[in-house]
Amino acid sequence: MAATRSSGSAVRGALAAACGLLGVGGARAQATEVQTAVLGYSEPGRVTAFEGIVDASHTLLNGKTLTGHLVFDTLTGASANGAVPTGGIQTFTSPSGESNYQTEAGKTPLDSTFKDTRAALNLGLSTPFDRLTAWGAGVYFSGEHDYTSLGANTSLTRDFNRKNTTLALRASYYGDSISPVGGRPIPFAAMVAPDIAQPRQNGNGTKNTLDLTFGLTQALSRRTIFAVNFTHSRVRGYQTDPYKVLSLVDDVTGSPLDYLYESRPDARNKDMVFATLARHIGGDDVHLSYRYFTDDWGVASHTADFRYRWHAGSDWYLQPHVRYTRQTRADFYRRFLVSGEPLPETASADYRLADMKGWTAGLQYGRRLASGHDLTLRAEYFRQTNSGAGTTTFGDLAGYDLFPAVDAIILQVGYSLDLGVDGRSG
Amino acid sequence: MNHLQKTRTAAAWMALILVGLTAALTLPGCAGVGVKPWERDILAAPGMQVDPDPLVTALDEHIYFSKEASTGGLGTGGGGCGCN
Amino acid sequence: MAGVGEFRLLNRGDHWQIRFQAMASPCEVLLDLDDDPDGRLVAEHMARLAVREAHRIEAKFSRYREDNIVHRINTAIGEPVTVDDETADLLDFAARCFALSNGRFDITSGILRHAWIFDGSDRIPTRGRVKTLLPLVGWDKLTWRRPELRLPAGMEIDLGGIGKEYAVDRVAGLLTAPAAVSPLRSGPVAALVNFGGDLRARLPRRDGAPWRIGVERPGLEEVPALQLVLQEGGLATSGDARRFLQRGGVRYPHILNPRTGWPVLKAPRSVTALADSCTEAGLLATLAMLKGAQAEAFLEAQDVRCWVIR
Repeated sequence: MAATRSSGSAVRGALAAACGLLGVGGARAQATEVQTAVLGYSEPGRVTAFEGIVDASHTLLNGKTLTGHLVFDTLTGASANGAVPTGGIQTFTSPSGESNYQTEAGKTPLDSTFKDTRAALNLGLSTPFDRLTAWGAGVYFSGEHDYTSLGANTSLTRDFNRKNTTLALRASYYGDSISPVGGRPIPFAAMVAPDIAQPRQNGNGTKNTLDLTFGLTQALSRRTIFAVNFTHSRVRGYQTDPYKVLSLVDDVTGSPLDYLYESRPDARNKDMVFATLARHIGGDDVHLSYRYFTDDWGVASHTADFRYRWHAGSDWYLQPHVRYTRQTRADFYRRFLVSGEPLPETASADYRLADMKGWTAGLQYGRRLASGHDLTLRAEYFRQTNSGAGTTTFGDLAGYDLFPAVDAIILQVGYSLDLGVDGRSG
Repeated sequence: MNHLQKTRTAAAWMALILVGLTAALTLPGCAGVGVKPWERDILAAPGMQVDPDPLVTALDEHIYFSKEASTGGLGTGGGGCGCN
Repeated sequence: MAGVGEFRLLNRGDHWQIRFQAMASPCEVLLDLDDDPDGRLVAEHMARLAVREAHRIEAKFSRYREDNIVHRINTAIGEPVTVDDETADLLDFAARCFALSNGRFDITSGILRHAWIFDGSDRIPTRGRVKTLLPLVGWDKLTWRRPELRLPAGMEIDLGGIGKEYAVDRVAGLLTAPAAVSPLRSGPVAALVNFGGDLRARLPRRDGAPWRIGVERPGLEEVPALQLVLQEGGLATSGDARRFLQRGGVRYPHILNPRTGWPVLKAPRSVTALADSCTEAGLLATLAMLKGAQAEAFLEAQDVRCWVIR
């Protein structure tokens, strides 16, 4: 091997490069991670949604971590407006009050004028106080053409028991402003034809949410970790869906006389317990989680989730996923209102507030690429069913499916880059 | 059982669990639960985090938020949106 | 003195100090850990890691052992030897250093010790004696095709010129790697590794304060120790002022030009350099020594923070 001439400060650069190749270069422990994903959601014949998400976190040399979370989504297609199917063609006024849409006999009325685009941004900073304690704070913004949400959160975490136990306290506050297309309907006002002025409430709706979470994470053994969160959520303000109606049906024939705009209570208190157990079994990672939810609207639910990450190769895994949920209906849920009966204070025919069961089954594939980046692909099937418990049908109503199942397909591609511990190469 | 009773039952359960956990944390005998700092190799693996896929969780939470009445509680900082 | 594998663990209030003996040097490691049982546990664990790694590298690359890869290479009598990845990385590094020093840094020059014994006496070898050794010196005379090394019979390699600095960087890297200690939430531990004055600091300390450390220059006990304030980076010293020959008013320092087989006259007695890593600092200091009278000019051109004693 021949010696080559070198001079000037090139020697130092070449030496630094050689040290880098030897694996002893002057590396910095700064880390930047970027995760991205695109998700498609489709309910055949109904809603289609696309969502793009970018998640970035950067850890500075002093231990501070900056996080950014950006989401875009679009939603198009038809969603149930709350009315019941009937034997004839039904005509509804679109939310803007400017046009009509029709539903064929026997079909669940769907509002096909629905289209929405949303952008949301979450920024956070976490700072270590000392070796055991960290403080975090963040701000949140989400905007749609008819909905704006502004929020802030703060959290405190502390390690105990040789860092085998971590306790976290988190508080979030959101202030939302709702300005529906066409304005906010008067509760239980009847839907009028496009050429007549629909009576409306003045001004935007506002809603505020306070979430308080207490979390505990406990390493149980070298292979097992357990976490539990208790959350109390207090929501005040306008929680009615301004685009949803209830059919007011004849008390004998069951055929619709009117469509009345829904109305929900303006206070809701929710409590949740969420527990996760992760265990490393025979080289694979198993996650089992359970959530109990209850609120003073009368909704209570049990949700269980199971993921098995099978590390099939040194650089890839397959992860089957199953989720099951069961919820009870809200006290004010009515599939329809009956003429002649006194109007309740609040009522909604939103199927999401009904008794329901939901099943999700999916498979995720993850691969570590030669570049060191991670690729994930995910496909899931989701089905919601409703027994119709608590609803007595009569007349025409008995001939139709008032509680159709909803099916959805979810497809996702994810890509994450770990921009490494070496902010500067040797 | 009406919803008020249900809420009270849940609150009682939560309080019980909290008391139990606090006791477990403060009892000196339980300080042995867990692992030594250098035995964290398995728990440090990406697949063994409490939430190994925060992005998937965020996306799923958004979907279920807009399809179900019960949401939240996962400890992820979701925000308000008009989809429910 | 502690035996092989032994170490002493000392609580220094705002950090822990590990002391042990390796590579014929007093070794110390400073760890930015709290004065509590957790800190002690982690420090003990890291001490075992550090001592094990230092002894591993010493055993693997020492020229004085007969059970390692260096011995296999040096006794292959012209036969090719296939080496492992770590040895290959070091040989690649040696090849790069040979090239960028115009042949002055040469890991095959150790054989010249048969002619030169720097014991402070006036026993200068004859020109003929040096000349007989020169055909056995020169990286360009061997064949290195990773992972195979073919050394002509009679030649030797000696990784002593980079081994200690490499060990310092390796131990520092090992202790500060995220995998060394990965608690649930907090990051790795800042460390300073010091093997007989060759040192490396990695990661800033939690309170942002630098490490304060005194560095003696070998053979220069009369010169005050270098008082350093170091946050991150590597420091190494080349030159041992005790090792020289002297005759007729000319001082022959321990540093040899492998192309002539003779000491580099007018070389400084000691060069200490600061760089990103200990290995880089060590090479910069050695290359400066090899420049003789131009040592300071070389270091200045390379924009290296340095301390030169003549």
